[in-house]
Amino acid sequence: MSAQTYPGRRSGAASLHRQPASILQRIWRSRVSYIMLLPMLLPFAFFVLLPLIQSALVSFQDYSAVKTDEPEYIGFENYVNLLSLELREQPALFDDATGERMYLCGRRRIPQSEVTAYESEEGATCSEAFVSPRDLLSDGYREWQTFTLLGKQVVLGARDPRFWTSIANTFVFVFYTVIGKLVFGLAVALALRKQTRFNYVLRLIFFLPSVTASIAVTVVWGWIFKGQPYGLINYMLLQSGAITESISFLNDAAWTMPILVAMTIWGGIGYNMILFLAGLQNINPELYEVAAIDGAGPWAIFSRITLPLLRPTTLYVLITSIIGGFQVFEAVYILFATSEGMGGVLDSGLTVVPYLYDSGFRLFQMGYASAIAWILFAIIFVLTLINLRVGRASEAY
Amino acid sequence: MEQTARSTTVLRWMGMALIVLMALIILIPYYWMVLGAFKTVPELNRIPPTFIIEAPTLNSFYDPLGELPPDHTRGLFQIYPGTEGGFFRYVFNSMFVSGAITVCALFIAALAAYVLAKHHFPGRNFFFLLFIASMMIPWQVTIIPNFLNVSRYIGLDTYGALIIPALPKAFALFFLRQYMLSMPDEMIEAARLDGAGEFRIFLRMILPLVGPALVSMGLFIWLNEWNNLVWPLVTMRSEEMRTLPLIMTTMNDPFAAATKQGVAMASALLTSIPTVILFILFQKQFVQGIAVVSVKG
Repeated sequence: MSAQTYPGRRSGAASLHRQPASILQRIWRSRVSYIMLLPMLLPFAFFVLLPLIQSALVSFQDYSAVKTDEPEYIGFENYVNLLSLELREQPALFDDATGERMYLCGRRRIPQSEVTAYESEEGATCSEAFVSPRDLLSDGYREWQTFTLLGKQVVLGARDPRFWTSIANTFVFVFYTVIGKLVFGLAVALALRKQTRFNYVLRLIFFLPSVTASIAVTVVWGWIFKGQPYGLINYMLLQSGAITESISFLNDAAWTMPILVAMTIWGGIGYNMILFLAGLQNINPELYEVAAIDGAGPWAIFSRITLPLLRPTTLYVLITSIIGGFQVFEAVYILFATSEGMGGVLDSGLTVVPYLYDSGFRLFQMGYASAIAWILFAIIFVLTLINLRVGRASEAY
Repeated sequence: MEQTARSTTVLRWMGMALIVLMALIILIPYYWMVLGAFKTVPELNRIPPTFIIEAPTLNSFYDPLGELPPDHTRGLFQIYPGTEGGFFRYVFNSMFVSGAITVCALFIAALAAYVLAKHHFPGRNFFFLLFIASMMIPWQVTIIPNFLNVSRYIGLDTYGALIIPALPKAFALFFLRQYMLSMPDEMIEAARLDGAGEFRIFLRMILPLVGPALVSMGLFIWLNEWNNLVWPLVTMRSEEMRTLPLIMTTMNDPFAAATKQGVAMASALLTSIPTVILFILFQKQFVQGIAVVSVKG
């Protein structure tokens, strides 16, 4: 009895001497292993597995945490509401009576013949007027974007334009931060590659943002970007003469994304630098010696040796940066959230996770917020797969 | 030939100058934080701002003359009269919660990692794959049911609500298991033959041997929990249960007067100092943790 109960024993070893144990016997004999697994397994089941199933179910429900009604299954309605888009051609507006082309001057619509007079009188500029999106889109749709497509004015409507705004903002954010973190991370790693004391100090400095409390530093950035002249950036710009009046960076839709991107790159360089340094260490130094003997220039060495051999690291950096980028929340919440909404002025900083937070924990639309989470998961999953595919394919080459 | 050599040297120096400039940019917020935390109120209000503190003071932390505006405001440790212990309470909350999570999460992950690395039992691969697969799921997917479950069964505004759901860390299990796989089986077998029980082997033999991995993982977990904003944000409602990240969110009013900057910088400083100290003490482990996870992943 005693020798065979060791959990470490392979059941194959025992079967040399006796009948193979049945599955139940093997489970009973492994009871110590299961008991030792339990402290991890129990919280894992309650806080990871169970919520995963619940989340999938809730995303098909109309579940408002503030209402007392029981949650109700509504099929794919949350997903349909989030994802529905409608594209309509937007025809020019003509005067009903005269058939004249209409122009939009400020808030007024006037026929073409009166435009010149109006412009010189009021000093306003007029543009061609189009049929209002409200008259073009189906019920439940609102205007999200208006643009020219193949020479025609079109309007893109969505049932939830804020969701599409958050998706578009997130993609812009991910695009710039991933490129920035990748390029700067690699550049710094290459520059600080040699093991000198000076380089070591610089590496520590670059790595500092990865280990300091990110929230505290974000708040400091907030004060640095303050709109008043005591804000550091405004002071320096005023001083250098680049501007004459201080810019309210945090309340200006045009500045939201650049600030978010710059701050994220600032915080991410060091982490990627460490990864690239580890990758560079794995490159055989003899390759460089051979290249030097062959008279290869620095650019040839970089593009023919360093870059191809860093491919696994680059792929990893790319994937983690993309995943991290899609989950951005804290910076948006701390710098731009107000009581009216999560995304700052005109939702210019509204990304997917802040929108999820807004739906789930401000409006308490639990079903809707869960559906957003699953869409986010799907996007991350697909992008990771594409990355792995492309990475593998180019590796084979 | 000589000219190209000279131009590469020039290029190299320019590159190095650029890197140093970047490093200085990295340091700007830290410099601004320290500066703001130790300035007096009149100095904070001054335009243009000063870049070297004229009269360093601790008033942003505690100002005995806090009730005498305009040259004084109440310091960080005076502005929470509604909470017993004031700011100390929030420091304690953060310390206690992230400390408890780190210790407990490491312990249960190491226990499971040992079983999954060194025991052979039915379902071993299934459980391992289950844990690994869960790492792909972003936390956003489970946060809503977790919030509903915790508010129903544990209760909002409790330490349990902060600690218990944060315990299962699949990445810690993965990392520690990788580390344990390289340990020789013979050693464990020998201990078994000496009559040691499995828990005893785990506590006396395995845990000390995975010490370095525990330190790397522990730092990683602790830092993440110290910075955790979202979960306390949705589960903590009362004043006294707030953690430092929640306090930091109140420090960034876009229209706040310059006067408030001192207190904001003081709390930013106190929030980041523990992480910086740990980093200085454990640089190698921090870096190793990242590098190893990436190579294996």
